[in-house]
This record gives sequence, C-alpha cells and structure tokens, in this order.
Amino acid sequence: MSFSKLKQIHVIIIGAFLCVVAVVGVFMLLIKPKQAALQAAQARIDKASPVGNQAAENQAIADLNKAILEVSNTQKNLNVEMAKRMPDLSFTRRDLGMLQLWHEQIDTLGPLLEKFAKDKNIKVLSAKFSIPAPPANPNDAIFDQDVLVFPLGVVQVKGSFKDLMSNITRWNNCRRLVMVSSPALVGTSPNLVASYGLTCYIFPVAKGGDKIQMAGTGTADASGGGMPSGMPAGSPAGM
Amino acid sequence: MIKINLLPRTINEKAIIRNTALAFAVLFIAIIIGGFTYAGNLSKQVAQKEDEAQVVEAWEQRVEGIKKQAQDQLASIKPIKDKLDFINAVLKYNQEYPKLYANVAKWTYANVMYTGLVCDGAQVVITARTKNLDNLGRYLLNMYRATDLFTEVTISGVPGYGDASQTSMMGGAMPGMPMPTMAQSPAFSPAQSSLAGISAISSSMERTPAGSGWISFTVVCKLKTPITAPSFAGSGAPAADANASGMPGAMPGAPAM
Repeated sequence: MSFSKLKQIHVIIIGAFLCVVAVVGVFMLLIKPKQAALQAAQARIDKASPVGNQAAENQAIADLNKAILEVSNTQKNLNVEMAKRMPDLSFTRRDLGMLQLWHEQIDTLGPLLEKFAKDKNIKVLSAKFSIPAPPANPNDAIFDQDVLVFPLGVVQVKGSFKDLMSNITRWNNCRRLVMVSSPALVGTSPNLVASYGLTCYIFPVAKGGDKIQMAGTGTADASGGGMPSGMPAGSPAGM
Repeated sequence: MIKINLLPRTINEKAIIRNTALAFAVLFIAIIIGGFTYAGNLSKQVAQKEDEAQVVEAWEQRVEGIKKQAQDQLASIKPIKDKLDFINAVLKYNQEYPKLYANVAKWTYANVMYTGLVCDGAQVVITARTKNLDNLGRYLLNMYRATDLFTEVTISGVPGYGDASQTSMMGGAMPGMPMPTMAQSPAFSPAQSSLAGISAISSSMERTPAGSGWISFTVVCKLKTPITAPSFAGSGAPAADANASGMPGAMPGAPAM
C-alpha cells in the first residue's frame, strides 16, 4: 500500500481520529479511575471528619471526664447514704450474707427502730414493730434482690401539731431508710394523735453470688424459699 | 525579473502531507504524555487523600472509643443513680405530708377546729367543727382560695333548717357576688375560676339539724399535685410481711375517707 495516494484531508482525518482515541483512552483508562479513587478518598474524609477532628476529640474527652466525675460523685453520694442508712450486708457469699441478714433482721433492726421511735417531744402511744423471721435458705430469692423491703407496722404518737410533724420528718434521721406513709391525724392539738405506717428499705452492698450446694436439694440452683427439703429417710423420730 | 514556478503541485503536497502527519504524531504523543503526567499527579493526590482518610478514620475510631467509654460510664451509673434517687425520693416523700398539712393549716380559719385530717395522696379529708356559720363560711372561702393546693373542694355537713335540710346546691352562677355567705345558701359558679376548684365543686351541703352548738362538717379537697410514694424498680416481694403497710387502716376514730 502506498501512502502516496493519501491526501492531506485523509491525514487530517486519521490524525484527528487517533488523537481523539488517545484522549478518550487516556481519560478512560488512566484519569477516570484515579478521579474515582480520589472522590472515594474524599468521601471517606468527609464521612469521618465530623467526628475525627480535634474539637470532637476534645469534646469526647470532656464528656468522658464529666461522666467519670459524675460516676465518682454519684458513687460517693451513694456511699455516704449507704454508710448512714444501710447495714453492711453483702450476699456475695450467700452463707455469710444470710447470717448477716439474720443478725440485722433479728438483733438490730427492730430494737434500733423502736429506740428511734421514742421522741421526747411527743408521747408514743404505739410503736411495736413486727419483722418476720429471715430466710433460712442461702439460695433464697431474697438474696438476689436489689432491695429488701420490710413493712414494719403502724406507729401512733400523740402531741401538738408541730411536734407531730417534726416527729414524722425525724424519721429521715434514722440509721435505716424508713418511708413514712400518709399520716392520719385525729383529735385536737395539743392532744392530736397521728398514725402512720413505716416501711424500711435496705440495699445490700452486693447481691447474691453463686448458689450453694446444699444437702437434699440435688442441684445448686434450688429455687430457694424456706428450708431445704429432702430430709434423709432414716431420720430419727421425734425431730 | 519574474519568477515562475513550473514544478507540479504534487511535489509540495507530499511535503505538506508529511508535515501534517508529523504534526498529528506530535499531538498524539503529547496527548499520551500529558495523560500519563496528569494521571501520575492524580495518583499522588489519591495517595495523599487516602493517607489523610486513614488518619481521619483512625481519629474517628479513637473519638468513638472515647464516646463509648463515656457511655459505658454513664450506663454503669444507672443502678447507682437509681438507688440514690430512691433514697432521696423517700427522704423527700417523708417531708411531703408534713408540708401539706402545714399548708392546710395555713389556709385554715382560726376559729375552726379540726378533729381529723387524713390524706391518701390524692385528696385530703378534713373533719372539723366550728361554733357558727360565719366561721364556717370564712373557713370554706379560705379553702376555695387555696388554688396552689387544691383543684376541688367539697364540703358536707352544713346544717339546714326544717324540711329543706336536704337541699343540695350545685354550682349555680352568681356572677359579681363577692363573698357569698353560707346563710345565703350560695351556689358557686364555674366562672369563678379564681377560687380553688370552684368549677369542680360537687358539694352537697347536707343540711343537718344543729346540735350541741358545734357545727361539724367534712371537707374533701383534691390535691393539685398528688403525692405519690416512691418505688424502687428492682424491689421484689417484701422481705417481711408485717400486717401493716401504706395507709394505716382501722384507726380508732379516724375519719372515713
């Protein structure tokens, strides 16, 4: 094939075509993928930058410090209240915890409340508290509760209006957390008689830990409540 | 002197075609080289951006980690806070009734004597007595004005006379009546909204025969802000079931609710 027959117009057309092909080829094969990668990288930056920047980090650190401080303060406040109003009951070891609860429920709570109920400014007509026996099973569900609730009974006191109101709010100073229910007033001052119910709340320091393997229950995860069943068949008569 | 080109046109045309082809070849090569150069620059930018993206993403992860720590801290505080809030709520609750009763006392007319006062958290029931109707009227109007405490005040036990003693009066409009007295058998209008719960009065003022000089009556006042006993979310069954809890029941001489 001889190029001598090509005229200028042919060269222009072929040259232009080849240049267009080169432009398109270079753009499609080299530039476009790079631009796409560039845009993708920019998109990643845009997505991450609202959180991934110094101001956001400073803010997050400030929030964390605030949260730590809040936890610390709240824990401190709770510790103060726990030390002021709660017995040291930990059920992490259920057997020891149960004994602690026995002492609290049988030896401490009742006398403490009855002593506290005596107010020199008023006459106490009735302040007999009734606290049932504590559970005798260390796997009792009570040891898994966040709070132990003891409805104590009704207190009746006599005095002037002001002294009775002081007597009610005085329960906030008790060494246990006691809620006074709605008081009813009867009579006329200074011989008013106020009657109100009391409920004691106790937060254990720690809830029940691993359940204890007990004779007669078969498995450690007895459902709790009451004495373990299953006395040996040959138990002596008269027990 | 005249110059005459006698050469055929084809001789120059070959040179022109060659030059055109060369020009296009140069252009083609320039396009290729330019494309590669630009692509090379883009590659550098891409690498730079990707490095930057990695840094920012790592930063983001670090910040997210810090945020998660803060959230974990706040989550760990909840049981502690619940306990503390409950303790504080109980301490506050123990003061609510004395405060309420003191406020009721503030609104009480001096010549009225209370014989019973009880509240279930939603309403206060007062049993009282007084010597004459003027005292009773003043007392009642005082209670109606206690809009900060009550939304509704109901009274029963106001004495009547003879056969008309069972007349029941319910909120007839008395616009412009400044201070209704009990002797005038007032009926209160819902429009008198400046008085506590006047619109809601369902006071059936029973006319009972006057007795020993004392007029005994009962007032029931609905609290504007009911008092609710706090409860702890994690509390299960009571650890002990003493026979009394909440409102003391069966009190000798306690006014009926």
